[in-house]
Amino acid sequence: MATLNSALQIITGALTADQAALNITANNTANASTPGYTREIPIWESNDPVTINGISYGQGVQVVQAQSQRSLVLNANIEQQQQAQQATNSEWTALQGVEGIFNQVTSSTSGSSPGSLGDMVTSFFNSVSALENDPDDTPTRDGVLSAATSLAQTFNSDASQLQAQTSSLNEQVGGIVEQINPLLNSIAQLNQQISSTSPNADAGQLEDQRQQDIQQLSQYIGINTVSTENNGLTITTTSGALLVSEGQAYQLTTGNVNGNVDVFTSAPGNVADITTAQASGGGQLAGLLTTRDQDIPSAMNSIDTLAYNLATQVNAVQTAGSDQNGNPGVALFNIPGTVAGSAAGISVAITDPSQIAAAGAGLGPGDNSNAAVMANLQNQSIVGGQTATNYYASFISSLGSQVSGLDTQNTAQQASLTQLQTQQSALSSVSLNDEASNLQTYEQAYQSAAQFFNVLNTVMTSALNLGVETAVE
Amino acid sequence: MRIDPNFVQGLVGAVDQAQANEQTYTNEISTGVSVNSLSDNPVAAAQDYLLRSEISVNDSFVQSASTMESQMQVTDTALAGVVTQLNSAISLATEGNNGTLNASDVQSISTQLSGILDEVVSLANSSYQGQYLFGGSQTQTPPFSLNTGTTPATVNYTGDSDVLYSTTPSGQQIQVNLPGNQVFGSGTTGVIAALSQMVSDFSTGVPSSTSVEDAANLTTALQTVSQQRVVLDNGLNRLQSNSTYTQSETTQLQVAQNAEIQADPSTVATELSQAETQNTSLLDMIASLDAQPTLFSMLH
Repeated sequence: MATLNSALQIITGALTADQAALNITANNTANASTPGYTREIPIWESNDPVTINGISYGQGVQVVQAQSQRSLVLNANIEQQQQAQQATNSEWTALQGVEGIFNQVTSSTSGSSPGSLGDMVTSFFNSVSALENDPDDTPTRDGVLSAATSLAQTFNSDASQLQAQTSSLNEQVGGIVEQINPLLNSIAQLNQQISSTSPNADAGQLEDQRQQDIQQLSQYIGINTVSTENNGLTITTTSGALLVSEGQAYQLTTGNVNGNVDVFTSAPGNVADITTAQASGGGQLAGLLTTRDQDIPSAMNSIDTLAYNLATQVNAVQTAGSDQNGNPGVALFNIPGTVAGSAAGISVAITDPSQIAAAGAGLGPGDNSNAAVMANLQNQSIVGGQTATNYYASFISSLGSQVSGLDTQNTAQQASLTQLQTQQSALSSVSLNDEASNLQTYEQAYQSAAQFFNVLNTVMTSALNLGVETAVE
Repeated sequence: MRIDPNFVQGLVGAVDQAQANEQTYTNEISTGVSVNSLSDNPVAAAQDYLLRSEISVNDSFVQSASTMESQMQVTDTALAGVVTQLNSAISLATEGNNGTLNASDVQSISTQLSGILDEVVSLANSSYQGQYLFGGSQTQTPPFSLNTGTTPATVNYTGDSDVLYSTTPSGQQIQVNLPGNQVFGSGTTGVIAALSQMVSDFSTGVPSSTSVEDAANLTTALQTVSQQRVVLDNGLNRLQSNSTYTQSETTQLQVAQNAEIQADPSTVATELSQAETQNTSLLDMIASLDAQPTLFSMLH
């Protein structure tokens, strides 16, 4: 038979459970603005019923858990999308710097020349064309020398700006490694705490913090996470290098390799240069490394090729002719022996305008046949199977397309990431309206239980006094 | 279904985007150009460069063609002078050969012819901006000199036979000079030698036995000069018409360039207006959302 005592126990349990629920609501409300906080909901569970004389009596309720509302699948998706988006975004940002070097689009519709490398190539050939029409004129010869100097200086300047971009990226790589290491430590510590406090269940806010750290880590570097026993996590780079194993963090280090900052792992027995592997691994590091190790060298190679072929061809024509004094022509440009380093190394070899070999071999200073051959180089496929101007146009078009493509990709990835974050936020963020509604519900439940307790108390008093009102109050 | 309680933060991203658009469109309107970086329109940017390069090649050609035209005009003027002088010489030779003149008159003709000879040699040594026009590639020294130590005086040509061509942007080669030996001859042939021979023919006061034949040679020499002048004038005409054509082509290229990169003001203004409206609406919406009370503020 059910007793008044058991009713009192049931309602006491209800008061405790309502308090727990109010506590959870208070905590949610308090953390409404905490980054990475996952809202918790009380898990109510009916106590096991008791069967007396064949009748099953319910035994009230208890709150068995404050359950964080998280989706591991969504979190993993966000991490991956964040790695991809950050890689694209950082490559896009870095490549915009490269684009800026070659960005000279006609600034107004008056057709004025903005002075890009390509414009300097055109100017040089224009000056040679002018020489073709006036081969024995010293100011015209000065014009060729001056255009050649401007061309060489623009090659030098563009090469040095590309080099400066590389240096800046090296600094950024170092900076990112410095951001990564504290996160690895933090995750390792949280792994330990979680393993000791909550080895078999969701660790609530400790897991929130760990997840927040992992999401930050995903911004910087491509990672894989594997759950281990005792609610631990093992984190490796996408290339498999160990970063965190349960309570142990393996810091990344940087080192100078061929003038660039490379990234190394420090996991025992597996110390390795992961730079190349991480260039396709995701996170900002991937974007920076791709720009530094692929995009910039490719741009540098393009202008090196242009410088080398142009200078070599001009020199070949120059040395085949005669200068203003009737002497055999000497090289107009100093150029390294290989394509690599040509843009940085090109310079004008002569200082005397009379040394420009406008005339054919053995002909007088009024001959223009060699200048005509040199001017005609502009129309010949002398660089990678294309004319110099077409080669430059292809180069800037391809660079522009790459930046534009990354922009589009970045926008799409950002939209996808935002969608995932919205889904996560819909599931896990604190809604103050929800909490206010819960507060009302739990308050009413608590008040009802309290009132019930009061009534039971009266009933119990009546039962104890057997109808005598004053004996026990 | 639960909605994202923080969706206002997402709206702020949209405001940023709308403001970035406003900035882009404002920039396009102020510069008049829709392609402000390579990635705005990579194909148009590359095309812009190629067109700019072509325009610059054309401009440069028009400019240097103008210098060349001046030089050719000076050459033509010199040749016109030579033709005038030769016509006078032929008249004088005819007069000297008609057999009616006394010795003194014949000698006088010889003296006049000698003056013409000097004038023609001087014209053959014409220069433009310090460069001798009829020396072939040897433009720094006078190409013709007269050796008066012999009779008749012989002509010495120190230039060469180098023919110079100007290349147009379309690749045409136009002859722009006349090597002196082709116009005036050298040694014992050509205009100067013929003139020199005539001077000698009449120098004694009695026309020499070959004076009639020599006068005919002078006429032939004049024809050679005139033929060469035609070559030069043809070149000058072709250069001028190429220059004119190149100028008109440049105008077309500029039109094409504008079409590639110019911003269409009405389109951009419409886009700007839309971006502004979007920005304002978003800001209004966010402001009104923020002003909305939560359920907490309703609880008593």
